[in-house]
Amino acid sequence: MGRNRFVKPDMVRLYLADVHRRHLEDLLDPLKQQALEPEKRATPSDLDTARAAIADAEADGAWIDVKRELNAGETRHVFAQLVKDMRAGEKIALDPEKVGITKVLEYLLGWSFTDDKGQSVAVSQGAIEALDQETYTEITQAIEAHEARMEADRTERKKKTTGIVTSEAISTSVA
Amino acid sequence: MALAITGVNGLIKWSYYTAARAEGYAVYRDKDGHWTMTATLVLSDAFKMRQRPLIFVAPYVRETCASCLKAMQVCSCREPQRVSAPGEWRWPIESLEMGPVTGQTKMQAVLGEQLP
Repeated sequence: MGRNRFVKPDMVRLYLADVHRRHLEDLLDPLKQQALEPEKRATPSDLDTARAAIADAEADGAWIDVKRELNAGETRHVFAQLVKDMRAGEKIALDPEKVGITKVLEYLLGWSFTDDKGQSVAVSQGAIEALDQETYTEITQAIEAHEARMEADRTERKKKTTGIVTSEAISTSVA
Repeated sequence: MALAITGVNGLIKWSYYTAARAEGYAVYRDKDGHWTMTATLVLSDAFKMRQRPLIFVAPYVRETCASCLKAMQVCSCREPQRVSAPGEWRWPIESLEMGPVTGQTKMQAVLGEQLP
């Protein structure tokens, strides 16, 4: 039996504190820092700020629920929403207002965010657009990192598969 | 068989996807505690309806008084403070039958225990 080619609709919970942890890891990564211009490299003050952001995010405990993987239709939908104009032989014109949010809308299923009365708020385009800029950035970064991780997993899986499956001759030719 | 819940719009969900919208649904509970439901299906996705597990979702709005915390129907405050909170009842669909009846797709299902 061949592999199941249909995306199973699984949900993954991402903690927003992990966005800040990854940012601190980048600041502490000597290779990434060396690649930057000297004035853009992390200072001790940047590290303190990043550590404080992690502590804040951990105390808040905010999370988002996202789709583990987008299926073909959802991926095409992200692209279609993003494109403003597409003509043969010309560069694709993107809609700047849709960049980022189309992917967030397709991935995001739920979150821990509440209103002033402590009541949970349903995910919707209106609610996403009403978020503060910092939270929106945390969400986009969390989804980007999740997507990169899934892509790396898929690549790893393909490598393993191609390592196992061999295509050998079923019978030798008489000629 | 006692009639438990009726509603205008319900959903058949496969994980986070909507497999179909269930209009004019009625959910029954018999004396042994077994749940069944009937509905008219609209906008159903044949592929998603074939997947398992499917969940029947009946949304509701609970209206309570913020002063006495009782349901609005039984609140006796002089100045009730109405608070609306959306929620949903959910049941797993254990088996279902679908078929055309006078041009509409009718559905009958056996439901499992109500989900928390």
